[in-house]
Amino acid sequence: MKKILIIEDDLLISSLVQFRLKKDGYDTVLVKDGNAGIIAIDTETLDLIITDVMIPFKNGIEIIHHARKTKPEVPIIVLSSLGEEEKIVLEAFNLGVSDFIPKPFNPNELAIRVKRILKS
Amino acid sequence: MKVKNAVALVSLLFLIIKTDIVLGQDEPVFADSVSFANFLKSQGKIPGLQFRLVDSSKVYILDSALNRSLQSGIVRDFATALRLKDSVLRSYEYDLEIQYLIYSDPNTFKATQEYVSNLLRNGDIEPTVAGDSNGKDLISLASRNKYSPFLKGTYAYFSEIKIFAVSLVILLFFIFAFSMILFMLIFKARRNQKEKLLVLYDEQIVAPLSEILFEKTLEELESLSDEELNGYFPAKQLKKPFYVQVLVERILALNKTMKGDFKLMLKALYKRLDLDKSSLKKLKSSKWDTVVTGLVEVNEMDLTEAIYAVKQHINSPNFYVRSQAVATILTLSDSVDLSFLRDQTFPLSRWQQMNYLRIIKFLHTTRELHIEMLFDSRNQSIRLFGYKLVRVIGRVDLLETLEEKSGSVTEEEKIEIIKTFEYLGVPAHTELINGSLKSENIALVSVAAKAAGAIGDATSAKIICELLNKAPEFRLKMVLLNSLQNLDAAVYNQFINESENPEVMRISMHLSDSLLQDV
Repeated sequence: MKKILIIEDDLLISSLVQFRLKKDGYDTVLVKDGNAGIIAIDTETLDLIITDVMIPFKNGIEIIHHARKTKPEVPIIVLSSLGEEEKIVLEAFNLGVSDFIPKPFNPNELAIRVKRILKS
Repeated sequence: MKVKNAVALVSLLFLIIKTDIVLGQDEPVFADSVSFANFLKSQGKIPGLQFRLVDSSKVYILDSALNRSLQSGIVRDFATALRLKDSVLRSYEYDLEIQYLIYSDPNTFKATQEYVSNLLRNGDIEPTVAGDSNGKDLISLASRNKYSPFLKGTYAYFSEIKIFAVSLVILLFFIFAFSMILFMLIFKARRNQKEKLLVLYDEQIVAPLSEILFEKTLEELESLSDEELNGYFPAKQLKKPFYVQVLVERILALNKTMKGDFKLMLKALYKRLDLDKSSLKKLKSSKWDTVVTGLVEVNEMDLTEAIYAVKQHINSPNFYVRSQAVATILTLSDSVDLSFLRDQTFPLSRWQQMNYLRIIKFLHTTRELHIEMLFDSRNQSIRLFGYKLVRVIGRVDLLETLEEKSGSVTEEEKIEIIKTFEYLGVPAHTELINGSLKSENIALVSVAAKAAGAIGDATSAKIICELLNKAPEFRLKMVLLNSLQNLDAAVYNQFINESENPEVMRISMHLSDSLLQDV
């Protein structure tokens, strides 16, 4: 079973995403902040990371930096608001994230993208 | 430290209230020297007090007849000393005095009286009452009694107004402090309880929400029976206002975060759970913040049936209520015209204009908004907003109407209309521009001159030249020259060549410099 790490501080969104991904048969790890995200990246065997940009303690960019250093093979999807700074989004892409899904988003669309990335 | 002080204060207060017995330390025990002498006579021996007879030269006198009862010329009781004195006087006709010895030291009569008084006060000696010759000794006896006020207990306390007032202040302070502590504790407990409930309700809400959104279709959701729906969201919980509040907030938050069919699902669920009724109820609240929350909910959840209730708030005296009400009406109503905005009596702030503009800009392509209605408003800020709308959403078809209106509007409105003409760049409405160039209002002239540069005609150029010849102030002169240059280069060059004004020459050089002309 593929394991996906979800780093999102909004409990409602993270729970919905988790529910949707579990429905597709994925195993999920849910964390609410950057520090817990770093620990999860270091300790878990992951197939995909889904992260928000604006999260407590460490932002999404720091998470991506860390993931790229420690687990460069794990694809990353950034799930964030378009309202957030364009510079940050561009930086995320430059760091080699696999996809960017702007909020508001459709969880079904997210599930399709996850499926596509994990297949490739 | 504070506790110690408080305890001390309370003890002091207790003492003030409870001390009803006070000794009369300053009260004289003996009314006069006679009563004291009588007391000494009747009392007999007094501890520490002795007497002896002395002549005027303070030489001790010994009576051989009484020598047996004397010890070194000293007697222990005053009556004996008096008898001895009488005896000496009778036998020897020798005038003597009685000397008072307190613990063998000679003292004055007054000092002795004080000493005996102290003994009596302290209860060291008991007065001996002899027969009925003690009329004045009663005073001494009375003085010995402990002082007891006439008013006792509560009555004594209330009779002393100062103590009462101070006590009352202290009491009020304690009551206030206690109330504050109690209030804070209750407030904190409630907040903690609310936070716990929030976490609990969040957990209770997430699972059924996820299940409905991902497991059901819109049709299935709408066809769910009440019992089935209560399986997800228990009816018992839906009766709790805080649960409903959390549920509403979560659905609204999801509605903002999600797109596609999920939005429709959330709106359908909102209605199925009767949360729309809770939103409508909020619109009737007397608290403005509750009304605004209700308006936001109506807006977000597209509760079109609430439009009538929302319209009641359009002219609300509260800025936030009427702003949100207008925004909600603009968003919700399919057949909205702007007549409701036209009739607003309160001036529109810049913030409100931006907010409405954002919505109208989004809506005007799909709805007929009848912007021209705003030109007829009695509220100048609404009319100005209307002119700006024409400009921003590019309603060239309304320029004719604006031209007609321009004859009867204020100068501030003329400025806005001219800006619209200039922005839309239609060179057919020069009458207003040329008329405004002749105005006394410098701001209007400046805007008109700028517009003339883009959409003016030969008459505009002529008026600008006339204005320049009147030597206007520097900034206006610069605007006029710039406009003239843009409008008609030939006339501009002719004017510069004919002008002898050094300022005009400097501006001309500035305008012809490709690097500086836009500075």
